[in-house]
Formats: sequence, C-alpha cells, structure tokens
Amino acid sequence: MATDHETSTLDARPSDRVLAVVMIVIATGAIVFSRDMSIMASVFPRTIATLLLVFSAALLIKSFVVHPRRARPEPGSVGRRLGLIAVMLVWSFALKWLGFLAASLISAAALAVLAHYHAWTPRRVGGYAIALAAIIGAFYTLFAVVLNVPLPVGLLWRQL
Amino acid sequence: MENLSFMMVAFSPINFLLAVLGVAAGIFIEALPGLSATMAVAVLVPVTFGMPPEAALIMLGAIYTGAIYGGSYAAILVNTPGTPAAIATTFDGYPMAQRGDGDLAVTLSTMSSMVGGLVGALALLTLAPLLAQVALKFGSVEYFWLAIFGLTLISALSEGSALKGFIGAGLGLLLSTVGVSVIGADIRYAFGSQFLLGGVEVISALIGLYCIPVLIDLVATPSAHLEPPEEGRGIRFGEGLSLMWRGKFNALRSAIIGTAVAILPGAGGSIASLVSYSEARRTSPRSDQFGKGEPDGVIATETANNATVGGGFIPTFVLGIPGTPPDAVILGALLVQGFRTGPEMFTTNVGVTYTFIGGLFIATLLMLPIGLLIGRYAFKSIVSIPKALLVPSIAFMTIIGTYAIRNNPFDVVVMVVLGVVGWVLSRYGVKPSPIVLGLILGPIAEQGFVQGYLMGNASGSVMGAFFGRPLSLAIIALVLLSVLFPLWRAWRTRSPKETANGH
Amino acid sequence: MRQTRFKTWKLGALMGGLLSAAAIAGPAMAADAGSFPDHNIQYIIPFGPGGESDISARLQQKYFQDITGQQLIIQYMAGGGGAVGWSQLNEMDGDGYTIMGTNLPHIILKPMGKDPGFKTEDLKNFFYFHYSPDALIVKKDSPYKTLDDLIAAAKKAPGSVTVSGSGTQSANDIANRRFESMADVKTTYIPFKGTGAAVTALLGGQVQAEWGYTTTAANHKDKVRMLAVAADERHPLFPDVPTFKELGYDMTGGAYRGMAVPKGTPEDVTENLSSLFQQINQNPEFRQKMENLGFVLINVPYGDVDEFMAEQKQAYEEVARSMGIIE
Repeated sequence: MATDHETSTLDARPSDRVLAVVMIVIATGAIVFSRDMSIMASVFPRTIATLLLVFSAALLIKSFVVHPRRARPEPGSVGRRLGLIAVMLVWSFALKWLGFLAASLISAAALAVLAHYHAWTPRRVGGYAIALAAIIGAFYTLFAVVLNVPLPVGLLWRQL
Repeated sequence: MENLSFMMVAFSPINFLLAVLGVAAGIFIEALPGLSATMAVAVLVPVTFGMPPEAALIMLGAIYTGAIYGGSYAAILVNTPGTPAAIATTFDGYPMAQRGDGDLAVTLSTMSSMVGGLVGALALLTLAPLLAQVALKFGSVEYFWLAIFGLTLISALSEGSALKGFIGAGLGLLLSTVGVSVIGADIRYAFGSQFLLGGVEVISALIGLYCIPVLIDLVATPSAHLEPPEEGRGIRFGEGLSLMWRGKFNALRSAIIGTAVAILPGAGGSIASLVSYSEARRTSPRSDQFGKGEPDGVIATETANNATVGGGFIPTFVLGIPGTPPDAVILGALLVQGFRTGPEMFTTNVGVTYTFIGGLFIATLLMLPIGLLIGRYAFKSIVSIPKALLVPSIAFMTIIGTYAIRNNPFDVVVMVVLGVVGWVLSRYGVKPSPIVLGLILGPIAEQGFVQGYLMGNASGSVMGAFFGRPLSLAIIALVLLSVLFPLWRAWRTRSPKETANGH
Repeated sequence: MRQTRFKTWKLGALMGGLLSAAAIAGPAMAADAGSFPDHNIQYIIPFGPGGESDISARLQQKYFQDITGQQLIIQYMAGGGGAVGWSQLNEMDGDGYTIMGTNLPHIILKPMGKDPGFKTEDLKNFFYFHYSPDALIVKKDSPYKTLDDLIAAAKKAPGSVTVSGSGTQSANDIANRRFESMADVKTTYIPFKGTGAAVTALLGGQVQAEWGYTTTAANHKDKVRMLAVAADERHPLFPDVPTFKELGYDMTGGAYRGMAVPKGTPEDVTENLSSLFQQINQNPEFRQKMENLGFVLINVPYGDVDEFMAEQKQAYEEVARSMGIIE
C-alpha cells in the first residue's frame, strides 16, 4: 500500500462519502419540497433530483468498492482562507446597511491585511491605503456616475 | 458593388473614430470581472439617440465586439470567465498564465478573436438569410436535446471523475429551478424569501464559482499570483503567430462551429465555445495536454466565442429575434431609431445593415492593435501589483460587478455563498464548470422538454415529438457520440495492455 | 433642427467612447424647466433589456429629455417576472427621482397565487401610458384565414390546435382562457419564456397559432397574419384586421404599461410626474413612433389611476377565479 506522501495524493474515500451523503440529502430535500408544485413545474426538478440521487448513491457505493485517490489540496494558511470567506460574507450583507462605499472601504482594508505577508511599515500602510482608496474611488465613480448604477447608500445613514 | 460602397461609409473618419473608442471601451469594460457587455451597450443607447443610425450601430457593434474579446483577460489572468462563452478559455488560459505564459495566452486570444470575429462577420454578410432559416428549424425538442448534448460535453470535459461531473451538473440544474418558473408560474425552492424569486443569476454564479476560490487560495500563501514573465520578452507576437499557423485548421473549424451554433437564439454562445473546445481536444495530437495550458485550447474557444458576435446578429437582423442579451439591447435601439428588422434589413434598409457590417469588420481588425496594447498592460499590472492590493481590488470588482447586473444586493450574497460552496466542492472533486453549465442549460432543457411534451400530446404522439424529427435524431446521435467516444477511447488504449498481460 | 441634431451627435460621438456622454450631455442641454426635476431620474424596468417594456421606456426617454432637460436613466432589475423589482420598490427613496415601470395584468395576477413579496395595492402607480392589445396570430401561409377557421379546427379535434404564448398565468395565458370559454373550444396552450421565444415557435411552424400582441405582428409583418385583435377599435397599422368585438366575442385587453413611485413619495411630486408623462404622451412624434410599433396609447393620470386599477382588478379576478388561481 502506497503511503500518502509517496503519491502526493490522498485517500479519497472519506471525502467521497461525505460528498455523496450531502448530495443525497440535497436531492431528497429537492424531491420533498417539490410536493406542493404543479405537475408541469415539478416534473423537471424531480427528474434531476432523482438522477442526482442515483449518481450520489453510485459514488457512495464506488467508495466502498474501489480506492479512489484525490489530489492533495493546495497548502497554505487555513486561518487566512477562513478570514477571507468571513470578510466577503460580511461585505455582501453589509452593502445594504452600511452603503456601498463604506462597506467596501472597510472590507477592502481587511482583505489587504489578510493578503499581506511582509512587515507593515508606516510607509507601506500609507501607500497601500492611498492606492486602495484610489482604486475603489475610481471604480465607484465609474459605476455610480458614468454607468448610472444606483449603488446602495446605506439604510443606516438614512436613519441617522 | 453597391453594397461595398455602403460598407465604405463605415470608414469615414468619424465612424472610424467611433469604432476605435467602442472597441477600447468594450475591452476595458469586459476585462473587469462582472462588467457585462449587455450593460456597456445598454448605457450607451441614450447616447446614440442623437447620432445618425449608422454611427450608432457602429458604436454599439464595436463595444460588443471589444467586450466579448475583453472577457478573455479575466478568464486568462484571474480564472474568471466574464461571460458563459469564456468558460472554456479558463481551462487552458489560466494554467498558461500560472506558468508564466500569460502574455502568450493574451496574444493568442487576441489573434484568435480577430480570426473568429472576421469569420462571423463574413457569415453575417453573405449567408445571413439562409442561416436564419436553419435557426427556425430548431424547435423546443431540438433545444432540449441540444441542452442534453451540452451537459454530456461538460461532464466529459471536466477533469477527474465523470461521475462527479454529473453530480456537479445535477446540482447546477437544480439551482436553475430556483425562483418563479416560466412554465406553471410556480414559486420553486424560494423558501419564502422574496430575494430568491428571481432565481440564481448566471453571471453572478460564474463570478462566484470561479473567482472566489481564486481569491481564497490567493490569501493562503505568500507566493505570487502568476509566474512573472521573463524580462524583455515583449508581447511574443512571432511566437503567437507561429502557434496560430500551427492551429490554423483548429481556428477555422472553431470559427465555423462558433458561427453556426450562435445562430440559435439563447443557447448558442455558451455551447459554441464548448463544442469547439471539445472538438479541438478530440482531434489534437496533444489531447492529453488540454486543460494543462495547451495553446490550442485558447485558440479554439476564443475563435469560437468571437465568431458568435456575427453569428448572433443573424437571427437578430433577419428574424427580429435577438441571439444574445446584448443583441436584444441593440435590437431595441434599432426599433427606437425607427428601423424594423427582418428581410428588409437586407433589401430596403440595406445601407444601414451593410454599414454596420462594415463597422463590425473594422472593429474586429482594430481589436488586434488595441487588444495587444491593453492586454500587455492588463497582464503587467496583474503580475506586478502586490498581493495586498490585488486581492481587495479583485474582490471589490466581483462585488460591484455582481451588484450591477440586476442592481440587487442579494445577488452579491448569492455570489459569495456560491463561491464558498464551489471552493469546498472543488476540494471534493466537483469542479465549477459542470455546475455553471447545469445552471445555464437547465432552463433550456426544462422548457424544451415540457413544451415538447405538450406539443407531442396535442399531436397524439409524445415519442414522435422527441424522436421523430430528423434534426433531433441528428442531435441525439451527437449526444451518444460524446458519451461513447471517451469510453471507446479508454477501451482502445486499455485493451492492448490487457491482451499483453492476460493472454 | 438639423444643425442642433448634428451638434449633439458630434458631442455624443466624442464622449461616447469614454462612456461619459450619458452623464455630461444631460446638463449640457437646456436645463431651465422649473424646479422639478432638477437632476436625472432613475427609471427602473423590472425586466431585462430589449423587451417591450424596455423599448417603450426608451421612446419616453428621448422626449423626457426634450421636455425637462434632464435624463431619464433606464435601469434593469430583472427577475421573477417583475416580482424582484416590485417587491423592492417601496424600500427605495421616495423623492420622485426613482420611478419603476409596472405592468398589467402582472401586478394583479402575481399576488393572487403565492406571495411574490408585494401586494397590488402597495404599488403607487401614477400613470398608465399605453397597452399592447392581445392578438391571435398565425403564420402567413396558415390554413386558418379567419378566426372562424381556427375555431372550426379546434371544435373538430379538441386540444389539437397548439397555441404558443409568453408564460403561465400571464396576459397571453389569460387571453387564451378567455377566448376558450367565449368560443367554447379547447386548445393546447404552450408557455414560452418571453414573446420572442413564443413567436419563434410560430415562425418555425412548431405551433399553429400564437397569442401575442399587435406589436408582435408589427414586428413580423411580412411573415404573420393576425386573426383578431382584442382592442376596442381596429389598430391604425392593421385596418383590415377585425377586433374580437366585431366578431362577437367581448374581449378587450392586453399588456398595460405604467409607472409607479415608492410609497413615501409626496403627492405634489407624484402629480408632477404624472403630468410630465402625460405631456410626453401628447407629443405627436412620440405618438407616431409608438403607433408604428403597434402600441395603443392611453392616458390614465394619477387622479384616475385608482378607478382604473379597481376596474382592471375586478376583470382579472373573474378570469383568475375561472382559471383556479383563486377560489
């Protein structure tokens, strides 16, 4: 039996089983929630959900029969990845409340910190802050003024 | 000859200037992930009210041409297709950029886009009325089979296990049913939320599924986003030219496929580049290199998707049925200007039509110098900008771009959530492409199926409706081919080995 | 006239490429039209670009600028057949600088079924400006020369005549139901996504007839024939096509288009908007352009909107009841 290090791949059985089970849950849910739809509207989602169920079951069975391998995921900091996900989620929800500009400036600053691996010198902080503000300002203007996109101003400010 | 003189109108200095501005604006806009060609064209419509119709059309056409090509930058440099038509560009363009050949990929995409654009415009000029009749032959049932064909292609193309490709496609198909259904007017899987009524918007899903995983992996390590190119290499024009020459049949075939498939309103663009890509891979002596940075992959998709510009105008002009969303905006602008589409576009209104086509040719040719210039800067800035600025800038563009598609803040939430889900799924072996294709082709498949069923019922034979028309049989044959060919090839490469070992 | 047009064109041409003309050309024009509006107005279309709602708004756009010197900026907020936009209208700024297109019967029918996030009464409509009359359309080479031909065929083999249309529980679907019950026939209605797809199905010979509008017929004049129009009078573009009324079926209706403001908009501003759009409706050039595309202009100013909506609501409720959308 080859070890994980020699092949630079991982045993895919546990992950395939998790994937299969999650997909089975989704497919079952899709079938359950299609009950109150009209016949015309439910035909397609039910067919697809059934197919998804079959494929996922096949994947589950396969994981017990053969020994699939998967590529080792890219290395790197888990904390920073989760941090990026958190910032992006907060950003997307904050648009409506904080307004586009405020939410974007704060989140962009947070992302800059997350993506930076060197020491922060006052010069660098200043330089990056100006550069980021300029990029965001330019694109904000492009969308809001030139392209006339009604970007949210922020419900929070309206109440003040 | 008379037509030629109409085309020459497009070369007047002011029209030429408009074409230059249009192409540059289009490239710039679409190069940013999330800014769409539809939006660029829509914003310009009021500006064109004051212009003579020819000038207006040239400007709109030039923007559209530039935008479709500009979409390849984001696909190559950030792995994010700006339009469904650029999905396959990411397959080889991004790996090329990662290993330091981003400049070559951009040069190739520029040359290919020009070739594709020229072939598409030529078809529009010479074959439009004929091809439009073919488009009409495609009924609901044919669209249903075409969607199935597209799905089998993507599952075969996706890296790793075909089973996971099908699972991804199934998930995308289910996502496509969220919201108010066209048939039956049911509200499906909205779980009481008014925001889910509009369903999952395709472009925001594209941005989320492709761009968010790139961002997530960007912050995880200190290493550079793309391999920097060697010093003083320039735009690698000569290298690009010789690769184009090597792939000339590939380019020609892809351009023809792109034009032909694009005449089908609604479905064309996204399927065209996939078909070209899979054909290129099937016939290439280096087919095992596809997906790992093979230049022919970039050539195939970029020729095909720019050929769809000319191809998409065929049903728009001849039938008054827009082939793509930007076509719909241009059609609207035409109606407001007082022009009626239809055969008269090629008889009584011939002046406007041919000037427009002339403008398309100019815009396409201009793409080469303008594109190489802008492309060089785009590539250089992506490579040299520090990560701490690159990550927030790309993230900001995904957010503002997604918002602007439907002016809906909830779409941004959906984009981010899908991106995170897509990142997790791709670690489990389910890649984004099948999911997105499921999302795009789902409505086509569903509507085609139910409409076909209803029509079959009315005529007394449902089986006859689905299997009785020659055109649908031809597409079914293609479906079978795309499913069976990989199996056959796998069997053929395995069997000699087995014979040697076993017997 | 010719010269100013040329001038604006040149100005537009120069700035167009920079995408900035839209922002600059507005104020550059005469801007002395009183206090309201003193800047551009956002006009949100709750559908995608290129449809009839978009095209008619684009026509208004030009004349709005001529009258006020300000731009009408058209935005799209597509999704859920309009529901995404309408459900968010009342959250927007009620200062008169945000308006949204509204469509009948959509805003009446949608809230009847499941909850689409808005109620018909919540929408503060201020002007209804036109409608596209329903029309039953066949291909030019169709064996059905008159409405009677089609009815005879449908009577002979119930359900065998296929009719395409845009969407379920939509203007087209309802027109078909009303027609079926009045003529006492049974057809097979096949819903498509949008008028474009429905007319393609007709042109491709997949269906025998299509429920569309006079606008559809105007757009495909050389390839289709209308059997009857659901308007009070014959349309000036089609003087030879009878109305349903003439043929003995009491059917008028179609897709009505108007505009609404967020709930908090002050009354005087709303009145102001209503009279601005009424002015556009009276412009002869605008009227001519709309007519050429097959639209029929109507004038329902703010003061009359309540009555108009009540009438429409009653009419559609009857149909909805017979269709089983409501009990």
